[in-house]
Amino acid sequence: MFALERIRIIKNYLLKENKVSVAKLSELLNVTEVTIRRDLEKLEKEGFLERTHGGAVLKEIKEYKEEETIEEPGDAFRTQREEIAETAFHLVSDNDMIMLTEGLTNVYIARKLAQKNNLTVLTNDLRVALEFVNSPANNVILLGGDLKEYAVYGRLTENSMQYFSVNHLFIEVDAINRQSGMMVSSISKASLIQKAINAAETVSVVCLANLFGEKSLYRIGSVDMADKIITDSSLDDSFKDYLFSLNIQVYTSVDIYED
Amino acid sequence: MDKPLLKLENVNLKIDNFALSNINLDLYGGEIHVIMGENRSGKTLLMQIVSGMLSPNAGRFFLDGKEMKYSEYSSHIKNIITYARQESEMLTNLTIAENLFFNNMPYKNRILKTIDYDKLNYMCQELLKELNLPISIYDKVSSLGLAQRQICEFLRAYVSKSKIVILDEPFAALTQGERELLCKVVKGIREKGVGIFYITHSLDDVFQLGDRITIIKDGRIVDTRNVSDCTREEIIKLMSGHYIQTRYPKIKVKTGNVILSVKDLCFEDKLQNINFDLRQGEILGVTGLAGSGRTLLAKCLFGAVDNVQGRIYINGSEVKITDPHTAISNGIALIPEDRINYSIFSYLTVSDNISVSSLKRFAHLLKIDVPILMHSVMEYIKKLNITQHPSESILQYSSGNQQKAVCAKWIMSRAKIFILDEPTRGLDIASKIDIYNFINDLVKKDVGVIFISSDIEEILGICDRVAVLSSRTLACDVSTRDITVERIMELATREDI
Repeated sequence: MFALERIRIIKNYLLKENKVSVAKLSELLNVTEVTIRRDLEKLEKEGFLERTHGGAVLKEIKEYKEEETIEEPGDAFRTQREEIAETAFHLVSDNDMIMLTEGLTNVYIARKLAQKNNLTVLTNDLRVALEFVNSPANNVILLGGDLKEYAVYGRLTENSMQYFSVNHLFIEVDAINRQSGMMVSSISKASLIQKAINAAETVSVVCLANLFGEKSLYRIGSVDMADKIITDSSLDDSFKDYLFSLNIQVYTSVDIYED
Repeated sequence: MDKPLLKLENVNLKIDNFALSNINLDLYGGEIHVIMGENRSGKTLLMQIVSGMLSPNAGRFFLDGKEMKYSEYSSHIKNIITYARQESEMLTNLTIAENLFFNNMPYKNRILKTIDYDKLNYMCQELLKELNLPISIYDKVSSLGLAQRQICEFLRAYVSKSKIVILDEPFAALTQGERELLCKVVKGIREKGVGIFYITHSLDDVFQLGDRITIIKDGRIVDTRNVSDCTREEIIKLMSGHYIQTRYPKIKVKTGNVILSVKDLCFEDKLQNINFDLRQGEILGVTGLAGSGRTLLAKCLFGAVDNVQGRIYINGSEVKITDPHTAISNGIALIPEDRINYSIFSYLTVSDNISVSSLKRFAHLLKIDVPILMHSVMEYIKKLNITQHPSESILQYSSGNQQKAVCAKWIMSRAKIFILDEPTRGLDIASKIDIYNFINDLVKKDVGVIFISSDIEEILGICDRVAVLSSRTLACDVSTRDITVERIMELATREDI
């Protein structure tokens, strides 16, 4: 097969499927993986796709999607958040009653969880609720209150939360360190999370690895309030040690095996 | 029995990341003092201190009621102790008789040290007759099987003039007859008024032989008791102690089809009728005591030993796995327990170690495309957090990084069935957590994992099912939700039914 033809097939495949793995293309086109990797390299230079671990994703689609959903433009941690969402997906069962607090990573988690069935999702973040718009198989309960950017806070929110008890609470925090524990950037957020923790069976803390050891203004509580911590694979080794000694499950969300 | 032969008080020792703390232990003449504890609980270290081989950081030592410094203690004890270890320490080119009486040979002429062979052979013959042993005294030790060597090792303790004897884990795979013989030998030693430390994993041994029992866990003595005062259940409870299963990262995965099915697997007289299924996305834990055949089972599945009986099915069709090459081409990966000898290529770099099983995929026009290969390898190194020095030999790396590289090798080769033999043993905690998270990534993508470990806490924390190897076969195969540490201990320590 000629290189041009191969590239045309790869392009068509990507336009249809949005992403593809090297192994899949090599099988499909019956050429070596080295050839495929070279083709992908070429297409990346053209700006058509972006190479990922063991494959590629369509570039146009990525940009197009960004406009469609309400996300911060140029999020540098997209891959990390997607990996964290993948792990969170595997910690929730159909029929669970869960809560997601405000946060961009939690929005990614919500997008992934929209594939589940019969979940009941409690949230104070509008973006989280929106992710379930096209997922009628799940129930979403949006809390009310004073709107600050994308989420609601205040006495009204906290009062209405007391009607619910959830199996699994996902809180997204802005910093974790050894001295102060878990921290967020606003007092209303800290207060809401404290109340939510009291009413949850399992508490999972969502936090990007680069925010470990950092500081933020308002303290939620000590780290051992968490049952699980979900972060990405760049977490510093000393924190793994520390968290294990506190009997907390640490999920580093590696995505490495190519299936 | 008024004064102990030997007494240790508040002994402390710290080695790397393991510590023996506040050990108090004593031994009387004419008693069998059983020492029990899991692998890596510190039994062997403690016995090395007792036998004068390893100087502790602190502690007080008494021999026959007299306190002495460790240096003095160690020079005294060397003359009155025999330490019979698991690994045979006999001189394989000498006869059994010569080995048994090596330290007290009968001489014809004491000055010229000419050996009185008639007397030696007579003494040895009498001893074997007394114990009714079916061994010829003229045989060289090299011609003996493992079990027979073990018995000779014990006989050496029997004929020695030692006042203290340490017997370390009588070989786990002895037959019933050999076991009875061993009991006879041990009781014979006791009758001479000798004090015995007897290290074992078998509860039956405890009740058959033991006078007192000391249980050790994580370098601390849990309790010392008279055997007549305790029940099986109490000992199991003391051994299990406090377990924490909640700190292991474990995800929920819907399991798929049966990917590996093993029917009636047998190997020599060491493994019998092993049956189990492994599904896609499932983690099957295999545990058992040292010597129960865990590593052997892994080798059988990987074709690393010959003459394995039984049938193995992969994705429903039968395969004959006669060598590791067939295993690998069927998508089986083995991460062996002994990393240095069987797992890494010590003189290659980390990147070579990672890519070695996947080179075929990077061949283009009969040669390997190095830039593309390196690009791929670097991605694995980065994702697995392997400390970056890609040009150095892998031997320079920490054991955690070595193990991660071994994982990367099989992940890169896209194996479908992973057999992990003690993958976290001896690793730092951060690397352990990394390994648990790789396993999670594997099962998420439909890989089947067999996780062999002697750490029961770890097994219960990360596996979906657990099987216990005991008496040469799988004693149970149940969901980790339906079993307790106590029950696993009980199954692992049971004898032939």
